[in-house]
Amino acid sequence: MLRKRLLGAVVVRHGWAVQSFGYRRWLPLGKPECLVKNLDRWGADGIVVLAIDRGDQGPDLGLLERLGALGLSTPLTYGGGLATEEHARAAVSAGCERLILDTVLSHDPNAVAAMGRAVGVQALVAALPLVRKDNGEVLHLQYTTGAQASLPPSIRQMLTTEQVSEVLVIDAMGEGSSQGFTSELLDTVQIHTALPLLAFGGLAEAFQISTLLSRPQLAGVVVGNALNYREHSIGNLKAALTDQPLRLHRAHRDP
Amino acid sequence: MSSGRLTVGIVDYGVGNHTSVLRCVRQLGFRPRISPQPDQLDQADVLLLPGVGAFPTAMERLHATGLAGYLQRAAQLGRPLIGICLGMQLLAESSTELGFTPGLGLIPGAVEAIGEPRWHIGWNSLEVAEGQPLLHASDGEVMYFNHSYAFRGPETFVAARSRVREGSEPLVAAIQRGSVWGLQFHPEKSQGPGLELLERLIQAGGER
Repeated sequence: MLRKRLLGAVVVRHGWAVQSFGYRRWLPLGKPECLVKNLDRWGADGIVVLAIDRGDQGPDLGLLERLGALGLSTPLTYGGGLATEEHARAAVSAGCERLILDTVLSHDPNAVAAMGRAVGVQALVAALPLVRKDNGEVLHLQYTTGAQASLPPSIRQMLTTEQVSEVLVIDAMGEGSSQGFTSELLDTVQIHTALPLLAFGGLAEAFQISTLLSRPQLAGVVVGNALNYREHSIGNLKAALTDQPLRLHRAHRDP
Repeated sequence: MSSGRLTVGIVDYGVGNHTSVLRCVRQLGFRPRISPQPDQLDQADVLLLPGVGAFPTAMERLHATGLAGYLQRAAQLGRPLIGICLGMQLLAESSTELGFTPGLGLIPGAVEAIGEPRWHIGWNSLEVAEGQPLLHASDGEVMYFNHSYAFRGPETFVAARSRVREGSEPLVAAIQRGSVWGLQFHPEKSQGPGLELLERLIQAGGER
């Protein structure tokens, strides 16, 4: 049976891996290659690289080439600047298995469909940064403008018709903290789609992660900052999640 | 053909994740040769057909580059060929992804939508079929899958399966006909278990 996934995230800004606090403040951590290599060695179920400064510059192919040169044996998912079919092809060619789409979801749904034809819908993940207001309302956050609004109809339709294969639900306020993921965000997204979900933002503690992974529709969690400060943090976290159907890492046995 | 280290010809038809496969082959100690040119691929001991994307686009590229005929002739000659993910699906007779498209027809069977659930994404264990000594050591190992279409065909060509849920209908995870192999999962992204399985298949192919 399919295992639940524990994915490690590396947030990149101006070429450097950073610890992000709600995408408002950043603390430099070092070279992205070093962090990605660690996640590969430690047996993450996937590595998510988010280049948050791309805007309309397209994907960071230089970064992807450097990551490709590492010879990773862990699936790599990339987000940042992906806006066209050509971007999608180039990112996959550079070694990405999956692509995270954000702004393009609402700005150019036709481009999303073209990407699906080019690299396969199974490669496309929709990123939904969400905010829960004090009155309980859940709003979609546009990082580029800071605007908060209801989920755009184009995105709702994309989820209903499954033009992507998974949804990365981001707790935009919890991101960078360890206060926990706002589970109501998942409730809101589940109304619109039966797609598998991934949760990201504010996740650090095993009990928080275990609670989320118990939800049938949740395929995995993405953990960022919490993984970067301890050796073999993935293995340690998995060891504390024995109640969940997770995969145990096994490295390649040298001949 | 090479002497000593085996040469793996990675078929470059402009679709997919050739970089990952190239690094993986090199990491395993084989000599990779990535090319769209038949005369270059002729130098390889084992051919590897990777692929990420949609079936019709991939077949269109294989025909446009003349590689479809090349791969069919190579299989007829008994040359070892390993298809990965979409590369495995291309070995089938046809696919219904984005409409009906004929495949390479190297292994009897068709590629169809998975059904419910629609997606098979993530890590899943292999159930290796009887009489598959090369895969035997991988029985129960967990590999990385990422697909929404799957091979359906005669049991005799099914080498391994996986189930999305316990008790659910199995999906074909690996196929084999003679020296032609198809792996629905990504061995190059399945860490130790995937690398070891790919290593065995390449090694065995090179020894034929």
